[in-house]
Amino acid sequence: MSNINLRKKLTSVPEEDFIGRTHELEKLLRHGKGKTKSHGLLLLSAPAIGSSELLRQTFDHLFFKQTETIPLYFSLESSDKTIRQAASRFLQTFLQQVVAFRRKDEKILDASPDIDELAQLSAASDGFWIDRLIASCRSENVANDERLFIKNCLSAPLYAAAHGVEIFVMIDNLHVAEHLAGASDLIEEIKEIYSRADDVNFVLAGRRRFLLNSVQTGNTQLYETEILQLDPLDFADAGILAENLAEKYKVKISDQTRDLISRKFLGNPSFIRFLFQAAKEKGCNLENFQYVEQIYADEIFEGKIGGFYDAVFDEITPNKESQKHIISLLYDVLTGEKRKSPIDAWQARLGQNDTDFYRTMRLLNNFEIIRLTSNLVEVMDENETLTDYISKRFALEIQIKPRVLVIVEALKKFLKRAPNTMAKFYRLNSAIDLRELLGIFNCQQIPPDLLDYEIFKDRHKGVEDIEILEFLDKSEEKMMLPQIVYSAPTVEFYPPINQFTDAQHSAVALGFETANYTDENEIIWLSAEIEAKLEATKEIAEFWCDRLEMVALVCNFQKYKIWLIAPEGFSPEAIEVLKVRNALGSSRKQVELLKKFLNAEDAIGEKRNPNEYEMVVPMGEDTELIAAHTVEEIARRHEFEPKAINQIKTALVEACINATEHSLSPDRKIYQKFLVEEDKIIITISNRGVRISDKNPLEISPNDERRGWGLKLLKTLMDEVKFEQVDDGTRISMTKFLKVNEDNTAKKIAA
Amino acid sequence: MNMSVQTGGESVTVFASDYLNKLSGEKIERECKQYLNDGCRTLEVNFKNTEIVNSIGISILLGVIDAASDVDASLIFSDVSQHTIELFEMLGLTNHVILKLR
Repeated sequence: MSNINLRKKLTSVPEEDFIGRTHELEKLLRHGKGKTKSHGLLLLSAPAIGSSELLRQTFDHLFFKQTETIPLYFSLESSDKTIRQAASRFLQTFLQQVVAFRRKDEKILDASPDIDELAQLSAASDGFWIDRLIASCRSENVANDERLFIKNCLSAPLYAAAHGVEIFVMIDNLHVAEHLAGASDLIEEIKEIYSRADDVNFVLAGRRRFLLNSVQTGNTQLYETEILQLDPLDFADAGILAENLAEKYKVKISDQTRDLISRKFLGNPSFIRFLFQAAKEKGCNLENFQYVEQIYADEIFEGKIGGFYDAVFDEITPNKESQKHIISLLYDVLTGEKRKSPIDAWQARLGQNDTDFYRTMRLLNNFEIIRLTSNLVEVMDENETLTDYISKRFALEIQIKPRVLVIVEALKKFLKRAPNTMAKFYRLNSAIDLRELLGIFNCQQIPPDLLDYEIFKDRHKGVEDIEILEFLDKSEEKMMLPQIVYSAPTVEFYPPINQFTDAQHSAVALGFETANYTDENEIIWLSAEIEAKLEATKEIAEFWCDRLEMVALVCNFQKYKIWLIAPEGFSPEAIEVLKVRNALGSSRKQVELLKKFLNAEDAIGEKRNPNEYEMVVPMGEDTELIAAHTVEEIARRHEFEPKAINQIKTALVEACINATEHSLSPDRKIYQKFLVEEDKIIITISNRGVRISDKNPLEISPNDERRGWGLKLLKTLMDEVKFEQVDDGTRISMTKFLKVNEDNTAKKIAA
Repeated sequence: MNMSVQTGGESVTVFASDYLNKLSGEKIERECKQYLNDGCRTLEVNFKNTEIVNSIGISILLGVIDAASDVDASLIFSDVSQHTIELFEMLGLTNHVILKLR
């Protein structure tokens, strides 16, 4: 028997490295315990995003927590070859996991007991139904009734549930079913069985493009299931993962390379992990763009990332000649002017029969190599890693260029691209995200000051935001926003506009002028965020009105409104142009105020924290005073009380003295970060050198009752003090809440 | 700001600087001990210019308290800010010295 603690069994990633999935994990755990609306849940994800890991983490949580719910995690494998084999393995896995759970013995999960051994190991309370289940499956097997055998095996959790056992079924990698031979349709069988599973909670997981289509078509449709879409990690979480992996593998990174890695892989945790593993294996750091791109190039050419795509293409077609044809077609689409090609052209060039061709296209689509829309094939070119892989194979296998030359060319391309990747990201990050903003328009009444730059300039130029908002709150002059029912980037409606703008800077929104859904009320808003250093000129306004009118013409939009946003608004001549075109022109400031007015700041984009300050001071020469005066200014700006400010200053001084006196720091620097949140300030003081945990206690609190008061003061003056674990030096995190609990402080002082 | 001194008979006022740390604390300690040795029996340390006091500075003030106590001199800490008084309270100085609030 094992001790039951929360630890890993099926998972391959330690819990602390499992970043950015808290919400999804909680949702699955709630679902497993029957605390969600539906019995069924579809977990949809793109390839290599970590859905299997999420399910395995869920299994481990439930297994080691030992609640009433017994978790079952089963992953379809292409090595199963046949549906019958998969079903048989399902039954064996189910019994193995039930017995291991009941006996609280994780070692059973590592062994390969056969069904009879599992029956013998089963708990007395389960023996009856397990014996009956095995007997039933055996009889179908002996009778050679394959379909019934498969049904019986897959229904095992329902059988257990009928005997009062609470089971949470997680079936992973359902897309593999397509490769399994057999007379039955495995997906249909699973749907048929679990559509009547009123007392079994289950998750079906797999590639999103396969799974959603599979469960919502066919004889049985699981419309009642909830859907959990697993997205790639967001930028911040991908950064945390990169930092954790850097620490774990002892690979040095910088803030810049961390961001590049997060952005480059679009939050794909598997690829980020592969990069760090490769850096560790090669003994390289990832401190600058050059190192990152070198390791990345190695990964594309002979590493795990290249290997990942090799396996994908092998699965699509093991025939290397067919793969070459596919690579060639993909490359042509990528480099072609239209970036799309008709599916008929693909079939002609691939030369496959209908069955093979549609299977190939389906798999290319499921693996998210291509996007199929209206019989046109597009490559998923937003995925740089994929396009680099395609370019590599095209150069090596079709152009037959020397390998060294291809590697050098690729590396040059990657290096040149890295700063552009970041520049593109910075621009994206600073965009208003018109699509999201328009999406919250819902017939709200707003003062015209928020959209009409002429009015805004006249009334509010040079006025503080708070005063403007007060004025707007009281304003009786109103206009009504439309109710937007759908919004999308303009490039999706009219791709040629891509030459002038991108998906984040221009959007089309379809809706109604009022909440009456009539033809007369239909309205399209065509919006664009445009660049201009000063007020946008007449020429700029004309140019953008022309472009958006072209979109309206091509898309046959009958009634539309153009809305342009320029950073500094529009010149008087430009405003005249806008009036003639019946267009609206706003400044960026107006849009910020509009978001505030609509209380939509949290709904649009990520909440950014502008209240973060950093400084580095040298040790000694009373430099702690510079830090103290800085934090005083920051705290005052955020309306901390004078008493709290004094306490923060003194605590900071003590932390600096502590760093100076005890660290033996090699760089003699104190790194300070001040993060002000709504209700608190968090001060982080770090230094290199000897870790405080490695110091002799007498060195910190000498045996002289008149010294060593620094840490005592820190803990008394601040509301929370944490000594964070770092490999080198010390990092102290101190928090002061904006509304100080006087009683608490008084108690601390008294103590 | 540097420390300054005001004398008048047996009474001496030592003005602490804006930052009471190790160095400025030791200066005060040296001055105070000197005046006590010279026969001063009423010693005042004035904190009107003092903005920040650190724990090392406070520990040195304890040395001044001891020195005054040894010769039965009276020691006053004057013009002390409320925050500094709280620090003195936390570290147990207030039992041994007369405090005058700023």
